Amino acid sequence: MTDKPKTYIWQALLEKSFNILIPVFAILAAFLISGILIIAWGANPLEAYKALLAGAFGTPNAIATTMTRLSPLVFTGLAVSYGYRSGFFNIGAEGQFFLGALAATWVGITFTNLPGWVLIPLCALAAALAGAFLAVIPGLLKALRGFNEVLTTLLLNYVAIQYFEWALRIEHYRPDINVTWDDKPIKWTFLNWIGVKDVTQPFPQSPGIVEAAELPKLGTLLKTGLLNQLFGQAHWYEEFVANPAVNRMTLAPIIALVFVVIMYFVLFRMTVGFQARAVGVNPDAARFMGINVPRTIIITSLISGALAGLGGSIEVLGAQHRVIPNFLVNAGFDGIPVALIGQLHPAGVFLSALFFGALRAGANKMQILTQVPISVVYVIQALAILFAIAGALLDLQSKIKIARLAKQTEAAGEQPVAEKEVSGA
Amino acid sequence: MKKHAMFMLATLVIVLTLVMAACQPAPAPQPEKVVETVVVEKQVEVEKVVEKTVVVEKEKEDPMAALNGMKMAGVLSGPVNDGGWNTNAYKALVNLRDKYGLEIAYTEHTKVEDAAQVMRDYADSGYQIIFAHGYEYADQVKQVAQEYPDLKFIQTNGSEANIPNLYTVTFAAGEGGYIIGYTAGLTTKANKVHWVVGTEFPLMTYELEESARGCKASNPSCEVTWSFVGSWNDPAKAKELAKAALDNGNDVIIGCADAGDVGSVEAVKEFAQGEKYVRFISWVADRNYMAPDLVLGGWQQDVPVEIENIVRMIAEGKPGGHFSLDMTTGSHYMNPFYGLIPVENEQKVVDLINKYLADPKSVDIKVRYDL
Repeated sequence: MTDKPKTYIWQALLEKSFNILIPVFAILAAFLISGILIIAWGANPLEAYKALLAGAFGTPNAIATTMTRLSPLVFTGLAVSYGYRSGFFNIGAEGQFFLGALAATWVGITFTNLPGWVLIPLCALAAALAGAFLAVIPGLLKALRGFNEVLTTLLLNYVAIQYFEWALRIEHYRPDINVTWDDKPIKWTFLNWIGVKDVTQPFPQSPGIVEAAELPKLGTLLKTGLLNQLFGQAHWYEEFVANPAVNRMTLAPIIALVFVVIMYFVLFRMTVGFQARAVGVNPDAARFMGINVPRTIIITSLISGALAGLGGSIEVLGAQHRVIPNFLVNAGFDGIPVALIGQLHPAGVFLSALFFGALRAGANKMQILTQVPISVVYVIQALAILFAIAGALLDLQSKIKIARLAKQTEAAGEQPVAEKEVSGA
Repeated sequence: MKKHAMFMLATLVIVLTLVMAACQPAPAPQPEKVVETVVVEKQVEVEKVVEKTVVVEKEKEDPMAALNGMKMAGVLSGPVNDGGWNTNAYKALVNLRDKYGLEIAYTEHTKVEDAAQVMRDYADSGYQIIFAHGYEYADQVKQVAQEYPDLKFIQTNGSEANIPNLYTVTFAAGEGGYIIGYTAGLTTKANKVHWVVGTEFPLMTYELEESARGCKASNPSCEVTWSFVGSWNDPAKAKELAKAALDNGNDVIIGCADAGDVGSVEAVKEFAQGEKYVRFISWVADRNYMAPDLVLGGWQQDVPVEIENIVRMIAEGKPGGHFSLDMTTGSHYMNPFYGLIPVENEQKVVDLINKYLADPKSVDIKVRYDL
């Protein structure tokens, strides 16, 4: 089929476009139906959506917030989509995310003397390892004993979150301090090495990570980097860099973007990804192809867990700088709808994380300006997912493809061949 | 294909949960009409305030008059009808609106990661006082307060003391615990008192220890114990804990579990049906309406007064810092006894409070301002 007739190009384009069209229409339909809800509630949906949009993109501050909300979702979305593509449906991203955040914080408050360029990768590595550790348990169980990973990953969430809450209540070892916040003498034990609680204050929260471990701010980078040498004299550039919102934005969204590209290559350009996708489509066929299925499942669980863990470190290093109880609840579970609306493609994941991040960032503004409750945003999200699933069920893509193949083979005077592609992109 | 179906199924379940969570009705019915965010400015209220300022002018301008028309916003962690923590904050805002003519607004269910942006949104919309209700917003309120040095920020249960436009406020600990313990010692007949508390945190632990000391002061043979529900929203578990305590020979239950108190009172009611002596003492807010012949008013932590104290400092132009309010500020006090303990015992408690207020050193109450 190397010399495709020209007429089929448009059809092929149409097929490809469904990947984008389905989620876009799903989102539009969700907004439409939620609009009815807002009217029923007694507000003007257009004004509400305007406020929502303004809250997400209207000001530099709003954009900074959207970018901050988006970054962890990209990671959990990538974790879920990679897992699902490879036959390992990881619902444990929430727990992996929490453990990742905990590990990154622990490194960030323990190795306080290291320079930033060592400490930040170290934090990220610790987070990835923690996430991977939590995910590889169900991975091993599935690969070696056939346990259902949906159950095991889901239940491990509770283990991870309870452990997280417990660690928040154990004082973190500080060699320079020997009394607690209320002047009670404290005897440091081995347990204190595991804990992350700030010994100098009463509430269950960790101390802030050292400044070196915080992700560099965009403003600071622009002030010192190459761009500054190029445009440093320009008035508009100075103004742009001085904006507090630019100063608040960190490298987090850029790192997220880098990982989107990396995951694209892993999935579609590397053997690991090819084998993983083959196992995801049909493990038996994969085995006949000579792929080591258990090994692939274990590797998949490691990658998926590491991605979710990295998401936790991004939130700690880039935004909150410490862990507290109820630290970014649902970032892991939200990875599932992010992956779904993103059509399980890394680039799609980034776009749908942007959609989710914008909804979250704009929701408060919408409530402040138009009194429409934040809950509407959750309805929009839920409806968007429903419509995306409904759209996927229609499966127009393969219908058109089959029709095209039938035409092609007819033209070539052959019997139509049903084709099952491994690539679902 | 099977997996595909399972994925669909799992997603459907998640979606349904999301929809249901979003459509969930507000948990506890509350007489007040609750709207998600309200910006209220009643003509009638403004008239009232005008009257007030006329009266006050005689004793030279009240700084609070400057608050009229100012905009204040609350950042809350849960719904305003939770009957506890956030209801108190809502009442504090309404109190300021009704008394001094402030324009109020609030955001419910504010997650910590969203708090900074919510505060910025309020600041950019012209709100002059921003009130973050809870220790968890410490980092965010600090950050935003420094970004907007001209606006005033209030945080409950915070500890920051060095930002001139940030006022962190807590209740001083010890007074309530001691006095309630003293009361409980005079209330119990079995000499066994039990607390049912939401969750353990340092301030609460100190109040519990003080209540044990207070109890010993009024009734040396009395014993105070406590148990934790593990949540502020679990009536079923609170009821089980109260039941167990009653079966264990306690005849006074002190309840400090916000929404969980419903359960504790229920257990006390059931126990009382057996013609047995039992009393419930409230903490944080008066629960007498739940069982008028069993529940003492107990200890009141008056968040409206607490916040009003801070707003007064703002109006008077005092700089920010950390403020720990004790009984002399009127922000916490004893509720009525409803005649549920003998008059002479009631008098003993009142005497103790009066003696303490006249001279704090004359009573063995150890107040802590650092919790």
